[in-house]
Amino acid sequence: MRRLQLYIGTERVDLFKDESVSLTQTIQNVKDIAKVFTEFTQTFAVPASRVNNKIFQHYYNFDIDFGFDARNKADARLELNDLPFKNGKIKLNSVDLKNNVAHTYHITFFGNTVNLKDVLGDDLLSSLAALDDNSQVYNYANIRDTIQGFPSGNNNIVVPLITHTNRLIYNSNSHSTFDPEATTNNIYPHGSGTQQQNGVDWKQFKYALRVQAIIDAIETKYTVANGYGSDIVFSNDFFNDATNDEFDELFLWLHRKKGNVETPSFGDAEWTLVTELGDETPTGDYGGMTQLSEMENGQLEINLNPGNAYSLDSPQVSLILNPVFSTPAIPYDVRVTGPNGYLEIEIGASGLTTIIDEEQLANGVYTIEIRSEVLLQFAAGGIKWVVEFQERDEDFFELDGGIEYSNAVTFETSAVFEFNITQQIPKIKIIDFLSGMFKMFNLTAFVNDVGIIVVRTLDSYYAAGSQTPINIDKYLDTKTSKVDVALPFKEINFRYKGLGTLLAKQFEQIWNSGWGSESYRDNTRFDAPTETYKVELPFEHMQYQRIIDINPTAANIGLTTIQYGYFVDDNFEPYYGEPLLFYPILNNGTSMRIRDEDTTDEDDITRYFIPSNSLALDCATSKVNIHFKNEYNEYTIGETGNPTCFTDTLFETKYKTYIQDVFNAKRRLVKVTAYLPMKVYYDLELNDLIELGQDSYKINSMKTDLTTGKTEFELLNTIL
Amino acid sequence: MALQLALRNPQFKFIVASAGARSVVCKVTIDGTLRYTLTKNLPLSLVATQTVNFDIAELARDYIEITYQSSYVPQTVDIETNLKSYNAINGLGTVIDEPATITDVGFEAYGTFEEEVNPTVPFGRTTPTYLIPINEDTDTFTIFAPNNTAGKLPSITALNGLVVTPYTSTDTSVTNVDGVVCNIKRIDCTKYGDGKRIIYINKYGAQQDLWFFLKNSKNLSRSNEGYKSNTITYPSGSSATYSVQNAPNKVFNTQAKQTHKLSSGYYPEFANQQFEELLLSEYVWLSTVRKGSGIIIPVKVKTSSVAFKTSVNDRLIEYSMEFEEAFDYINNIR
Repeated sequence: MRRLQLYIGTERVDLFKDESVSLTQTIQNVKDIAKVFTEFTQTFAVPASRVNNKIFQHYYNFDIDFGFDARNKADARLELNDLPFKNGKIKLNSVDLKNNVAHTYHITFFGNTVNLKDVLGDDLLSSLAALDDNSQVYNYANIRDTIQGFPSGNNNIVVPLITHTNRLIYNSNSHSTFDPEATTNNIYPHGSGTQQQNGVDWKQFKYALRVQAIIDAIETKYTVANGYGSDIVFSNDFFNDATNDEFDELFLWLHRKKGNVETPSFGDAEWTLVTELGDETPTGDYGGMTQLSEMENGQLEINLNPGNAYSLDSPQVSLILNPVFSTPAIPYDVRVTGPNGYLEIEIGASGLTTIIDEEQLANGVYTIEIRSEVLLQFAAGGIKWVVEFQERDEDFFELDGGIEYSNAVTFETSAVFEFNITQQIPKIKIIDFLSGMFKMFNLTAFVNDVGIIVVRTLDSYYAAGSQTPINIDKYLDTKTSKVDVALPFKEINFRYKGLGTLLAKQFEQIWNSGWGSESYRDNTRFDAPTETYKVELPFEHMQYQRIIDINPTAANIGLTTIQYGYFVDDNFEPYYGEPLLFYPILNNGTSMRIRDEDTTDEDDITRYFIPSNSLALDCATSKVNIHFKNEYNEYTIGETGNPTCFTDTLFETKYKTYIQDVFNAKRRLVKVTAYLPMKVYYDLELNDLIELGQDSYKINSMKTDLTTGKTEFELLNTIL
Repeated sequence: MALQLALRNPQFKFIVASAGARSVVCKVTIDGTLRYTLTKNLPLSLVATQTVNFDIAELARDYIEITYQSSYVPQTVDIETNLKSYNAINGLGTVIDEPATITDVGFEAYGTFEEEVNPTVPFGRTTPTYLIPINEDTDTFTIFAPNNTAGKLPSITALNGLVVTPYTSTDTSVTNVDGVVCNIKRIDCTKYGDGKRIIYINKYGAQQDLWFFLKNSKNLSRSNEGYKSNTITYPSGSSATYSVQNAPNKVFNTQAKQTHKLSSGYYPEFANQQFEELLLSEYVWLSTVRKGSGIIIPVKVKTSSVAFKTSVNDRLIEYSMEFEEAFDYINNIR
């Protein structure tokens, strides 16, 4: 006889004597291939006993403060005959009352995998503060260097050759003065030194982040110590495995908005302290008056002696800023600190601005700090304190004058722009991102005994199960059973949601098929099923372009070693799209020119991270790629050899084994009932093979009455 | 003085909140530990007083852990109810009304519909009194017991609280510490053995004995489940086969329950109250003998209805009741 024990927290719940508690388990279901399932019980009832009333705190009585909070699931565990069986969560659904007194609580038990959704909620990737450990300064030198290699001490960040607006061409027979307004840039490095010829502005590029760093940040944020219900820790079977190149080498382009990188504020730019206001210009009767202010190292000191015969409203102080004119005007922030802290903070000032207008300032020292997103200059006289006051001299003669302190030399803001990952990462929920990863690589997940979320590809999950089938013949109830058709779909479509960039769009228009998308129907048309199943990844999928020298020499056909991504739509307009995943490959060869349009800085570089859909540029090195369908490789298509040799597509390596079997004519979904003894049920895993007679089966799902052991199996026969 | 609350009934505690009160907080302390804080918010427009009620019975009853007590001392909980009204919602702001904390003792007891709201033990009887039914015609206490059996009687008094008065195997009456007398009518039941003693928590929340003097019978009923198994095997090198000794129709989950059918013997009409209370009790035990030793086992009253007998209609009053052991015969406690 089997007994079920349910614990909520540390309290054992009283159960009804005859209540049936059925646990449904499925991890990969042929009826919904892309979904990751979790085990759950049907809703069952527990009595409103004294013990249970204490656990659920008379939930029906809403006057009770700090009672059971049914808005959240509660930690729970199931034991069978006092042996630990499942850890998970309990959800309180309802309370039945009889005669206005609690009679029954209705609850549902969920396995731990669903916990991921509960803990992550609707949080966005941008909520992962730990990502900012990888933040970089966004400036010419850093972008130039990070195109050519990882930043020092951080191999999670690269700058791939993906432009957000401009098209790149390579014409070794053309050069012209760099035009900041042009949307096509010839990156052929004409001449040397500061030529101002050709090149692409560094601001066309953005950083990209290793996807593993996102997994790390999730594990860092979601811990019990940080106030979450449970720790999220992934196993190192797929994530957290530096040897698993197909995932570990995957990067996410940090593209929050179409076009240029922008920050929501100047919050990341550094404040620059004004340290020089050396010009002093007296006005009015100032020469005959008693001074009440001083200027030293750009700091204004007001020192009004109350014993002097100043007018009651003296001094009247103004601060006027007038940056160098530009179109459009560069916005800036100003902060004035006085003896009692910040006196004035002006955000988003523009052009000539009076920051302080004839205010009577108290005695003390006043400093000015200014910041801007891009470099901003204040020519001599552009920053000016004006101090005015009235005084009666010993003859009671009224004097009226003042002094102006202004900068004698040009002042510049430092304009350091921090590229904060959390501000630049694409907007997507963490759960959707993970779900996308799970669909992409056909991953399964379950929580093991120590609370680690074991993530594996489906094939490796099944391979880890018992390869010796477990024979359940003697427990089988042969009274009734059922055989269903196992093919619920006529076709399965695998595609990326984001196929909106120029070349991907053109590909679809020409070939009538999404770039990298696969439609699988086993080369046959089946008319019995009616539905098409869609596996769609919430990511952008680009077709990259290997750049060809428009003017090839006789010695070559113009192929450069440069491949880039042109992230615009089919109207050649900057494009937002979905989060873009790619493999960055550090490639050597053709020299290209990158420059800073704000200065005369330029560099010719021969090493760069090129974006790629394949893990390598040579299929002899790796055939892995992130297409579902084997497409022509963008880099090798112009070379001799086979451009379709990158055969390890996502479909081929992650889905094919399972899907092909589903479409097999001999595939059946067999429904049988067995009365499993504890010795079988307790250790049975969903990836174990089941044997009936002399045939073996995979478990599609199983539903077990935990009190009787009656198990309703859905089994898929093994196709050999 | 603390009231003895019958916790199987609703027990309302109330506060009269003054005008201007926006919330009322009720704190329920059970056996010295604050267990529940209940808050009711009041309408903003409250300009006159409002009486706010809280039912604390279910909250407190959870904390009476009823177990068989060889001492027969009633099991109770101490309850303190503190009510306050505040001038802001959710128990915030300043206190407006703060009546004295109410101190009660909770019993696993119940009053009937006729005994009205907030019933308290001993339901209108003056104390001291035994916590057993009284013969209302004579206003005396009488219990029935076989010859040569001792026992205990719980009683309540203002002076001494809850006390238990033992009686010996030969006593024909017993007087408790407050001088209240209970007669003991001795019955000779040797014809059918020694009689069967049923112990139950009565209407007063006290443990009481009720003897069944006449015949008793014991039954065992078995249940199981079954399925049709596949017994075929596939030995290597020969045809599929099966063993004729291997039953395809399998049996599992076999379990059994024992029931006891007891006859009360002849009781006077005033004893009907005891059978009624036995029927309405949620805690019943049977004193029986297993392997030569006396043992108290939990039982459920399987009989669900009783036609009360009267001496006019039935002359001799005898009840036959069935009790089911409150556990499976094959031990499966986990």
